Amino acid sequence: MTRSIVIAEDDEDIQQLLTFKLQANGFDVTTFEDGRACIDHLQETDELPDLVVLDVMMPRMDGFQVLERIRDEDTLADLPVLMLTARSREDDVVEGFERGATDYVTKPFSPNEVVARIKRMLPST
Amino acid sequence: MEAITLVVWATIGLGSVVLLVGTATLVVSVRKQRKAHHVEVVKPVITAELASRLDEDDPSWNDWVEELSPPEWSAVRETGKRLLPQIHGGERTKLQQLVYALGFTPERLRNDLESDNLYLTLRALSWLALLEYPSAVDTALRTCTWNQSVRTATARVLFENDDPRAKRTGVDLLLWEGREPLSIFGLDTLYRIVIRKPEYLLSIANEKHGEWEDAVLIQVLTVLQHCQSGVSPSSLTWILFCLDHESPEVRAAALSTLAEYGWNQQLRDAVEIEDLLTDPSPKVRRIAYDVYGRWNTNLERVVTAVQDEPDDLARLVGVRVLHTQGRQKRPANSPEALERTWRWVEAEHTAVLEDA
Repeated sequence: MTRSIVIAEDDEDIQQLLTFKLQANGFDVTTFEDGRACIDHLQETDELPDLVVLDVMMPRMDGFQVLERIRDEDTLADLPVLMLTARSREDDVVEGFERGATDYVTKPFSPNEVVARIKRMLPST
Repeated sequence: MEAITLVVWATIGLGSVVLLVGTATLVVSVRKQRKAHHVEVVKPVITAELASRLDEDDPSWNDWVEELSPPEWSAVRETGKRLLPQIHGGERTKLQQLVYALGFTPERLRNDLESDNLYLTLRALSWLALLEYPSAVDTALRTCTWNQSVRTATARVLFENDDPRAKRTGVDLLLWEGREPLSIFGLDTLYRIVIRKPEYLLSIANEKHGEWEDAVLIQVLTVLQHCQSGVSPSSLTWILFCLDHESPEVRAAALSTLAEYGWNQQLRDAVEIEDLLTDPSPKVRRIAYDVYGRWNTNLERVVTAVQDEPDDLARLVGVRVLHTQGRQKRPANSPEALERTWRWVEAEHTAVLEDA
Protein backbone atom coordinates (compact mmCIF):
# COMPACT_ATOMS: atom_id res chain seq x y z
CA MET A 1 0.00 0.00 0.00
CA THR A 2 1.32 3.45 -0.91
CA ARG A 3 1.86 5.74 2.07
CA SER A 4 0.67 9.30 1.73
CA ILE A 5 2.32 12.46 3.02
CA VAL A 6 0.95 15.99 3.25
CA ILE A 7 3.52 18.78 3.03
CA ALA A 8 2.71 22.35 4.04
CA GLU A 9 5.64 24.53 2.96
CA ASP A 10 5.48 27.96 1.35
CA ASP A 11 8.90 27.75 -0.30
CA GLU A 12 8.13 26.37 -3.73
CA ASP A 13 11.64 25.02 -4.32
CA ILE A 14 11.82 23.16 -1.04
CA GLN A 15 8.29 21.87 -1.59
CA GLN A 16 9.23 20.55 -5.00
CA LEU A 17 12.51 19.02 -3.81
CA LEU A 18 10.84 17.19 -0.93
CA THR A 19 8.01 16.04 -3.18
CA PHE A 20 10.49 14.62 -5.66
CA LYS A 21 12.46 12.86 -2.93
CA LEU A 22 9.39 11.38 -1.28
CA GLN A 23 7.83 10.28 -4.55
CA ALA A 24 11.12 8.65 -5.51
CA ASN A 25 10.83 6.72 -2.24
CA GLY A 26 7.33 5.51 -3.08
CA PHE A 27 5.17 8.02 -1.19
CA ASP A 28 2.08 9.80 -2.46
CA VAL A 29 2.55 13.50 -1.79
CA THR A 30 0.02 16.32 -1.51
CA THR A 31 1.35 19.83 -1.06
CA PHE A 32 0.02 23.11 0.32
CA GLU A 33 1.55 26.54 0.32
CA ASP A 34 0.03 27.78 3.55
CA GLY A 35 -1.20 26.41 6.85
CA ARG A 36 -4.84 27.31 6.37
CA ALA A 37 -5.15 25.32 3.11
CA CYS A 38 -3.42 22.38 4.80
CA ILE A 39 -5.72 22.23 7.83
CA ASP A 40 -8.80 22.76 5.62
CA HIS A 41 -7.75 19.77 3.54
CA LEU A 42 -7.10 17.60 6.60
CA GLN A 43 -10.49 18.48 8.07
CA GLU A 44 -12.37 17.80 4.86
CA THR A 45 -10.63 14.77 3.41
CA ASP A 46 -11.99 11.24 3.77
CA GLU A 47 -8.54 9.74 3.42
CA LEU A 48 -6.15 10.99 6.04
CA PRO A 49 -2.45 11.00 5.17
CA ASP A 50 0.00 8.82 7.05
CA LEU A 51 2.09 11.81 8.07
CA VAL A 52 2.17 15.61 7.86
CA VAL A 53 5.26 17.75 7.26
CA LEU A 54 4.80 21.33 8.47
CA ASP A 55 7.05 24.30 7.92
CA VAL A 56 6.91 26.68 10.89
CA MET A 57 6.91 29.96 8.97
CA MET A 58 3.98 30.03 6.59
CA PRO A 59 1.45 32.62 5.47
CA ARG A 60 -2.16 32.71 6.72
CA MET A 61 -1.61 30.10 9.42
CA ASP A 62 1.82 29.08 10.70
CA GLY A 63 2.99 25.54 11.38
CA PHE A 64 2.40 25.78 15.13
CA GLN A 65 -1.20 26.84 14.64
CA VAL A 66 -1.80 23.98 12.22
CA LEU A 67 -0.18 21.56 14.68
CA GLU A 68 -2.40 22.85 17.47
CA ARG A 69 -5.51 22.34 15.36
CA ILE A 70 -4.39 18.83 14.43
CA ARG A 71 -3.86 17.88 18.07
CA ASP A 72 -7.20 19.43 19.08
CA GLU A 73 -9.28 17.38 16.65
CA ASP A 74 -10.12 13.83 17.61
CA THR A 75 -9.93 12.56 14.05
CA LEU A 76 -6.51 14.12 13.42
CA ALA A 77 -4.89 13.99 16.83
CA ASP A 78 -2.88 10.83 16.22
CA LEU A 79 -1.29 11.98 12.97
CA PRO A 80 2.52 11.98 13.10
CA VAL A 81 3.81 15.50 12.42
CA LEU A 82 7.32 16.44 11.35
CA MET A 83 8.16 20.13 11.81
CA LEU A 84 10.65 22.03 9.66
CA THR A 85 12.26 24.86 11.65
CA ALA A 86 14.92 27.44 10.84
CA ARG A 87 18.37 26.95 12.35
CA SER A 88 18.34 30.43 13.83
CA ARG A 89 15.16 29.68 15.78
CA GLU A 90 16.07 26.95 18.21
CA ASP A 91 13.15 28.01 20.43
CA ASP A 92 10.83 26.76 17.70
CA VAL A 93 12.01 23.22 18.40
CA VAL A 94 10.93 23.47 22.04
CA GLU A 95 7.64 25.09 21.10
CA GLY A 96 7.02 22.43 18.46
CA PHE A 97 7.51 19.60 20.94
CA GLU A 98 5.37 21.36 23.53
CA ARG A 99 2.54 21.58 21.04
CA GLY A 100 2.82 17.93 20.12
CA ALA A 101 5.23 17.60 17.19
CA THR A 102 6.41 14.04 16.68
CA ASP A 103 9.81 15.07 15.35
CA TYR A 104 11.58 18.08 13.85
CA VAL A 105 14.25 18.88 11.29
CA THR A 106 16.12 22.18 11.28
CA LYS A 107 16.91 24.05 8.09
CA PRO A 108 19.31 23.72 6.39
CA PHE A 109 18.49 20.04 6.18
CA SER A 110 19.46 17.09 4.09
CA PRO A 111 16.49 15.90 2.01
CA ASN A 112 17.76 12.34 2.50
CA GLU A 113 17.62 12.85 6.27
CA VAL A 114 14.02 14.08 6.02
CA VAL A 115 13.07 10.97 4.07
CA ALA A 116 14.87 8.74 6.59
CA ARG A 117 13.11 10.41 9.50
CA ILE A 118 9.73 10.10 7.82
CA LYS A 119 10.32 6.40 7.23
CA ARG A 120 11.30 5.96 10.86
CA MET A 121 8.19 7.81 12.07
CA LEU A 122 5.82 5.59 10.13
CA PRO A 123 4.95 2.19 11.56
CA SER A 124 6.26 -0.56 9.30
CA THR A 125 3.66 -2.53 7.42
CA MET B 1 9.91 87.50 -29.13
CA GLU B 2 13.31 85.86 -29.01
CA ALA B 3 12.75 84.95 -25.37
CA ILE B 4 9.45 83.25 -26.24
CA THR B 5 11.12 81.27 -29.05
CA LEU B 6 13.82 80.23 -26.65
CA VAL B 7 11.24 79.04 -24.12
CA VAL B 8 9.36 77.09 -26.83
CA TRP B 9 12.54 75.38 -28.02
CA ALA B 10 13.60 74.65 -24.45
CA THR B 11 10.18 73.10 -23.76
CA ILE B 12 10.37 71.00 -26.92
CA GLY B 13 13.92 69.90 -26.01
CA LEU B 14 12.95 69.02 -22.47
CA GLY B 15 9.83 67.23 -23.67
CA SER B 16 11.90 65.18 -26.11
CA VAL B 17 14.32 64.17 -23.37
CA VAL B 18 11.44 63.15 -21.07
CA LEU B 19 9.83 61.20 -23.93
CA LEU B 20 13.12 59.47 -24.74
CA VAL B 21 13.81 58.55 -21.12
CA GLY B 22 10.20 57.38 -20.69
CA THR B 23 10.34 55.24 -23.82
CA ALA B 24 13.69 53.74 -22.81
CA THR B 25 12.37 52.96 -19.32
CA LEU B 26 9.29 51.35 -20.82
CA VAL B 27 11.35 49.24 -23.22
CA VAL B 28 13.70 48.10 -20.43
CA SER B 29 10.74 47.31 -18.14
CA VAL B 30 8.94 45.31 -20.82
CA ARG B 31 12.10 43.36 -21.62
CA LYS B 32 12.74 42.64 -17.95
CA GLN B 33 9.12 41.61 -17.48
CA ARG B 34 9.29 39.29 -20.48
CA LYS B 35 12.52 37.78 -19.23
CA ALA B 36 11.02 37.26 -15.75
CA HIS B 37 7.96 35.69 -17.36
CA HIS B 38 10.10 33.28 -19.42
CA VAL B 39 12.03 32.30 -16.29
CA GLU B 40 8.74 31.62 -14.45
CA VAL B 41 7.45 29.51 -17.33
CA VAL B 42 10.50 27.23 -17.44
CA LYS B 43 11.04 27.10 -13.66
CA PRO B 44 8.82 24.10 -12.76
CA VAL B 45 10.50 21.91 -15.40
CA ILE B 46 13.95 23.16 -14.42
CA THR B 47 13.35 22.58 -10.69
CA ALA B 48 12.09 19.05 -11.35
CA GLU B 49 15.15 18.31 -13.50
CA LEU B 50 17.42 19.82 -10.85
CA ALA B 51 15.84 17.70 -8.11
CA SER B 52 16.18 14.60 -10.27
CA ARG B 53 19.86 15.29 -10.99
CA LEU B 54 20.54 15.97 -7.30
CA ASP B 55 19.44 12.41 -6.71
CA GLU B 56 22.00 10.99 -9.13
CA ASP B 57 25.55 10.06 -8.17
CA ASP B 58 26.86 12.08 -11.10
CA PRO B 59 24.53 14.95 -11.95
CA SER B 60 26.67 15.94 -15.01
CA TRP B 61 26.09 19.63 -14.33
CA ASN B 62 28.49 20.88 -16.99
CA ASP B 63 26.67 19.04 -19.78
CA TRP B 64 23.32 20.24 -18.51
CA VAL B 65 24.36 23.86 -18.06
CA GLU B 66 25.76 23.96 -21.61
CA GLU B 67 22.36 23.03 -23.02
CA LEU B 68 20.38 25.64 -21.07
CA SER B 69 18.67 28.56 -22.79
CA PRO B 70 19.13 31.99 -21.11
CA PRO B 71 15.78 31.83 -19.21
CA GLU B 72 16.56 28.26 -18.12
CA TRP B 73 20.01 29.36 -16.99
CA SER B 74 18.44 32.15 -14.90
CA ALA B 75 15.91 29.72 -13.44
CA VAL B 76 18.70 27.32 -12.45
CA ARG B 77 20.71 30.11 -10.87
CA GLU B 78 17.71 31.42 -8.91
CA THR B 79 16.64 27.97 -7.74
CA GLY B 80 20.20 27.05 -6.74
CA LYS B 81 20.58 30.27 -4.80
CA ARG B 82 17.31 29.72 -2.96
CA LEU B 83 18.00 26.06 -2.15
CA LEU B 84 21.60 26.44 -0.98
CA PRO B 85 20.83 28.02 2.42
CA GLN B 86 18.11 25.47 3.10
CA ILE B 87 19.75 22.14 2.50
CA HIS B 88 22.91 20.43 3.59
CA GLY B 89 24.55 17.07 3.25
CA GLY B 90 25.38 15.43 -0.09
CA GLU B 91 22.80 17.47 -1.99
CA ARG B 92 24.39 20.70 -0.83
CA THR B 93 27.78 19.60 -2.12
CA LYS B 94 26.20 18.79 -5.47
CA LEU B 95 24.42 22.16 -5.56
CA GLN B 96 27.73 23.89 -4.94
CA GLN B 97 29.16 22.01 -7.90
CA LEU B 98 26.22 23.27 -9.96
CA VAL B 99 26.98 26.85 -8.96
CA TYR B 100 30.58 26.25 -10.00
CA ALA B 101 29.35 24.92 -13.36
CA LEU B 102 27.26 28.09 -13.77
CA GLY B 103 30.51 30.02 -13.67
CA PHE B 104 30.55 31.29 -10.10
CA THR B 105 34.04 29.95 -9.41
CA PRO B 106 36.36 31.10 -6.60
CA GLU B 107 38.51 32.92 -9.19
CA ARG B 108 35.54 34.84 -10.56
CA LEU B 109 34.31 35.76 -7.09
CA ARG B 110 37.79 36.91 -6.07
CA ASN B 111 37.95 39.16 -9.15
CA ASP B 112 34.51 40.60 -8.39
CA LEU B 113 35.46 41.18 -4.76
CA GLU B 114 38.51 43.14 -5.86
CA SER B 115 36.54 45.35 -8.21
CA ASP B 116 35.27 48.73 -7.09
CA ASN B 117 31.83 48.06 -8.55
CA LEU B 118 29.33 47.89 -5.70
CA TYR B 119 26.93 45.60 -7.58
CA LEU B 120 29.63 43.06 -8.53
CA THR B 121 31.09 43.10 -5.02
CA LEU B 122 27.74 42.58 -3.30
CA ARG B 123 26.76 39.86 -5.76
CA ALA B 124 30.05 38.06 -5.11
CA LEU B 125 29.57 38.40 -1.34
CA SER B 126 26.03 37.06 -1.56
CA TRP B 127 27.32 33.96 -3.37
CA LEU B 128 30.20 33.67 -0.96
CA ALA B 129 27.77 33.50 1.95
CA LEU B 130 26.29 30.38 0.36
CA LEU B 131 29.44 28.66 -0.85
CA GLU B 132 32.57 27.33 0.78
CA TYR B 133 35.41 29.19 -0.91
CA PRO B 134 37.86 30.00 1.94
CA SER B 135 40.35 31.75 -0.34
CA ALA B 136 37.64 34.12 -1.55
CA VAL B 137 36.63 34.85 2.06
CA ASP B 138 40.21 35.94 2.72
CA THR B 139 40.01 38.23 -0.32
CA ALA B 140 36.75 39.70 1.00
CA LEU B 141 38.34 40.46 4.35
CA ARG B 142 41.22 42.21 2.61
CA THR B 143 39.24 44.25 0.10
CA CYS B 144 35.60 44.57 1.16
CA THR B 145 35.68 47.26 3.80
CA TRP B 146 35.09 50.34 1.67
CA ASN B 147 31.48 51.03 2.52
CA GLN B 148 28.94 49.98 5.09
CA SER B 149 26.85 47.64 2.97
CA VAL B 150 29.99 45.86 1.76
CA ARG B 151 31.34 45.54 5.32
CA THR B 152 27.98 44.23 6.51
CA ALA B 153 27.88 41.64 3.73
CA THR B 154 31.45 40.58 4.56
CA ALA B 155 30.52 40.13 8.22
CA ARG B 156 27.54 38.04 7.11
CA VAL B 157 29.82 35.90 4.95
CA LEU B 158 31.96 35.16 8.02
CA PHE B 159 28.87 34.24 10.02
CA GLU B 160 27.31 32.06 7.32
CA ASN B 161 30.62 30.26 6.79
CA ASP B 162 30.91 29.55 10.53
CA ASP B 163 34.25 31.33 10.31
CA PRO B 164 35.79 31.77 13.79
CA ARG B 165 36.72 35.33 12.79
CA ALA B 166 33.03 36.29 12.85
CA LYS B 167 33.00 36.94 16.60
CA ARG B 168 35.75 39.58 16.44
CA THR B 169 36.34 40.70 12.87
CA GLY B 170 32.65 40.36 12.05
CA VAL B 171 31.68 42.61 14.95
CA ASP B 172 34.43 45.10 14.02
CA LEU B 173 33.20 45.22 10.43
CA LEU B 174 29.64 45.84 11.54
CA LEU B 175 30.35 48.52 14.12
CA TRP B 176 33.38 49.96 12.30
CA GLU B 177 33.95 53.34 13.94
CA GLY B 178 30.54 53.49 15.54
CA ARG B 179 29.49 56.45 13.40
CA GLU B 180 26.89 54.87 11.10
CA PRO B 181 23.82 53.04 12.43
CA LEU B 182 23.57 49.47 11.23
CA SER B 183 21.11 48.49 8.52
CA ILE B 184 18.40 45.96 9.43
CA PHE B 185 20.58 43.33 7.74
CA GLY B 186 23.56 44.50 9.79
CA LEU B 187 21.59 44.45 13.01
CA ASP B 188 20.36 40.95 12.27
CA THR B 189 23.92 39.83 11.52
CA LEU B 190 25.23 41.40 14.74
CA TYR B 191 22.47 39.62 16.69
CA ARG B 192 23.24 36.26 15.09
CA ILE B 193 26.95 36.59 15.85
CA VAL B 194 26.53 37.93 19.37
CA ILE B 195 23.87 35.51 20.52
CA ARG B 196 26.49 32.79 20.13
CA LYS B 197 29.60 34.71 21.19
CA PRO B 198 28.83 37.94 23.06
CA GLU B 199 32.18 38.36 24.84
CA TYR B 200 33.95 40.50 22.24
CA LEU B 201 31.02 42.89 21.73
CA LEU B 202 30.76 43.33 25.50
CA SER B 203 34.44 44.04 25.80
CA ILE B 204 34.50 46.71 23.08
CA ALA B 205 31.22 48.18 24.27
CA ASN B 206 32.73 48.59 27.72
CA GLU B 207 35.68 50.37 26.19
CA LYS B 208 34.12 52.38 23.36
CA HIS B 209 30.44 52.97 24.06
CA GLY B 210 31.16 56.62 24.84
CA GLU B 211 32.58 57.13 21.34
CA TRP B 212 29.67 55.61 19.45
CA GLU B 213 26.83 57.56 17.90
CA ASP B 214 23.64 57.30 19.97
CA ALA B 215 21.88 55.28 17.25
CA VAL B 216 24.69 52.69 17.23
CA LEU B 217 24.75 52.49 21.02
CA ILE B 218 20.97 51.93 21.06
CA GLN B 219 21.34 49.15 18.49
CA VAL B 220 24.03 47.43 20.56
CA LEU B 221 21.87 47.72 23.68
CA THR B 222 18.92 46.29 21.78
CA VAL B 223 20.96 43.30 20.64
CA LEU B 224 22.14 42.68 24.20
CA GLN B 225 18.54 42.61 25.40
CA HIS B 226 18.20 39.34 23.54
CA CYS B 227 21.42 37.63 24.55
CA GLN B 228 20.68 36.77 28.15
CA SER B 229 21.89 33.20 28.28
CA GLY B 230 25.45 33.85 27.12
CA VAL B 231 26.08 37.11 28.95
CA SER B 232 27.63 37.45 32.37
CA PRO B 233 25.86 40.28 34.23
CA SER B 234 29.21 41.53 35.53
CA SER B 235 30.12 42.44 31.96
CA LEU B 236 27.15 44.80 31.75
CA THR B 237 28.12 47.36 34.37
CA TRP B 238 28.99 49.88 31.63
CA ILE B 239 25.29 50.02 30.80
CA LEU B 240 24.66 51.58 34.21
CA PHE B 241 26.54 54.67 32.99
CA CYS B 242 24.17 54.83 30.00
CA LEU B 243 21.30 55.46 32.42
CA ASP B 244 22.79 58.95 32.86
CA HIS B 245 23.21 59.51 29.12
CA GLU B 246 21.94 62.84 27.81
CA SER B 247 19.79 61.12 25.17
CA PRO B 248 16.47 59.80 26.54
CA GLU B 249 16.48 57.16 23.78
CA VAL B 250 19.78 55.80 25.06
CA ARG B 251 18.59 55.89 28.68
CA ALA B 252 15.42 54.03 27.66
CA ALA B 253 17.38 51.39 25.71
CA ALA B 254 19.83 50.97 28.60
CA LEU B 255 17.02 50.46 31.12
CA SER B 256 15.23 48.01 28.80
CA THR B 257 18.43 46.02 28.49
CA LEU B 258 19.14 46.01 32.22
CA ALA B 259 15.54 44.96 32.85
CA GLU B 260 16.27 41.71 31.03
CA TYR B 261 19.10 40.92 33.44
CA GLY B 262 17.13 41.75 36.58
CA TRP B 263 17.43 38.13 37.66
CA ASN B 264 20.91 39.09 38.81
CA GLN B 265 20.55 40.61 42.26
CA GLN B 266 23.80 42.56 42.09
CA LEU B 267 22.88 44.23 38.83
CA ARG B 268 19.34 44.87 40.00
CA ASP B 269 20.60 46.55 43.13
CA ALA B 270 22.92 48.76 41.09
CA VAL B 271 20.05 50.27 39.08
CA GLU B 272 18.68 53.41 40.78
CA ILE B 273 15.19 52.60 39.63
CA GLU B 274 13.52 55.16 41.92
CA ASP B 275 15.40 57.99 40.22
CA LEU B 276 14.20 56.76 36.84
CA LEU B 277 10.57 57.16 37.87
CA THR B 278 11.20 60.89 37.86
CA ASP B 279 13.22 60.92 34.62
CA PRO B 280 12.23 63.86 32.38
CA SER B 281 11.52 61.46 29.50
CA PRO B 282 8.07 59.78 29.57
CA LYS B 283 9.54 56.88 27.60
CA VAL B 284 12.10 56.20 30.33
CA ARG B 285 9.43 56.48 33.01
CA ARG B 286 7.20 54.01 31.14
CA ILE B 287 10.00 51.47 31.12
CA ALA B 288 10.77 52.24 34.77
CA TYR B 289 7.17 51.44 35.77
CA ASP B 290 7.36 48.24 33.78
CA VAL B 291 10.63 47.32 35.49
CA TYR B 292 9.04 47.85 38.89
CA GLY B 293 6.39 45.35 37.91
CA ARG B 294 8.84 42.81 36.57
CA TRP B 295 11.21 43.08 39.49
CA ASN B 296 8.34 43.43 41.93
CA THR B 297 10.18 46.03 43.97
CA ASN B 298 8.70 48.59 46.31
CA LEU B 299 5.32 49.06 44.70
CA GLU B 300 4.50 51.83 47.19
CA ARG B 301 6.83 54.00 45.15
CA VAL B 302 4.75 53.30 42.02
CA VAL B 303 1.55 54.15 43.90
CA THR B 304 3.03 57.55 44.74
CA ALA B 305 4.54 58.15 41.31
CA VAL B 306 1.35 57.51 39.32
CA GLN B 307 -0.43 60.19 41.38
CA ASP B 308 1.67 62.88 39.75
CA GLU B 309 2.48 61.17 36.47
CA PRO B 310 1.78 63.70 33.69
CA ASP B 311 2.17 61.30 30.74
CA ASP B 312 -0.99 59.31 29.95
CA LEU B 313 0.81 56.28 28.60
CA ALA B 314 3.35 56.15 31.43
CA ARG B 315 0.52 56.44 33.95
CA LEU B 316 -1.30 53.61 32.17
CA VAL B 317 1.77 51.37 32.39
CA GLY B 318 2.15 52.24 36.08
CA VAL B 319 -1.49 51.45 36.91
CA ARG B 320 -1.36 48.22 34.90
CA VAL B 321 1.69 47.21 36.93
CA LEU B 322 -0.19 47.87 40.17
CA HIS B 323 -3.18 45.89 38.96
CA THR B 324 -1.09 42.95 37.83
CA GLN B 325 0.70 42.92 41.17
CA GLY B 326 -2.61 42.73 43.05
CA ARG B 327 -3.02 46.41 43.98
CA GLN B 328 -6.51 46.62 42.61
CA LYS B 329 -8.01 49.02 45.10
CA ARG B 330 -8.30 52.51 43.69
CA PRO B 331 -6.44 55.02 45.89
CA ALA B 332 -8.70 57.53 47.63
CA ASN B 333 -8.66 61.19 46.55
CA SER B 334 -6.76 60.52 43.33
CA PRO B 335 -6.42 63.23 40.70
CA GLU B 336 -8.94 63.03 37.85
CA ALA B 337 -6.33 61.77 35.35
CA LEU B 338 -5.43 58.88 37.63
CA GLU B 339 -9.10 58.07 38.25
CA ARG B 340 -9.65 57.89 34.51
CA THR B 341 -6.65 55.64 33.98
CA TRP B 342 -7.68 53.42 36.86
CA ARG B 343 -11.17 52.97 35.43
CA TRP B 344 -9.67 52.08 32.05
CA VAL B 345 -7.40 49.41 33.55
CA GLU B 346 -10.32 48.00 35.57
CA ALA B 347 -12.31 47.75 32.34
CA GLU B 348 -9.39 46.00 30.64
CA HIS B 349 -9.19 43.57 33.53
CA THR B 350 -12.94 42.86 33.39
CA ALA B 351 -12.77 42.29 29.63
CA VAL B 352 -9.96 39.77 30.09
CA LEU B 353 -11.94 37.93 32.78
CA GLU B 354 -15.02 37.84 30.54
CA ASP B 355 -12.99 36.48 27.60
CA ALA B 356 -11.57 33.75 29.81
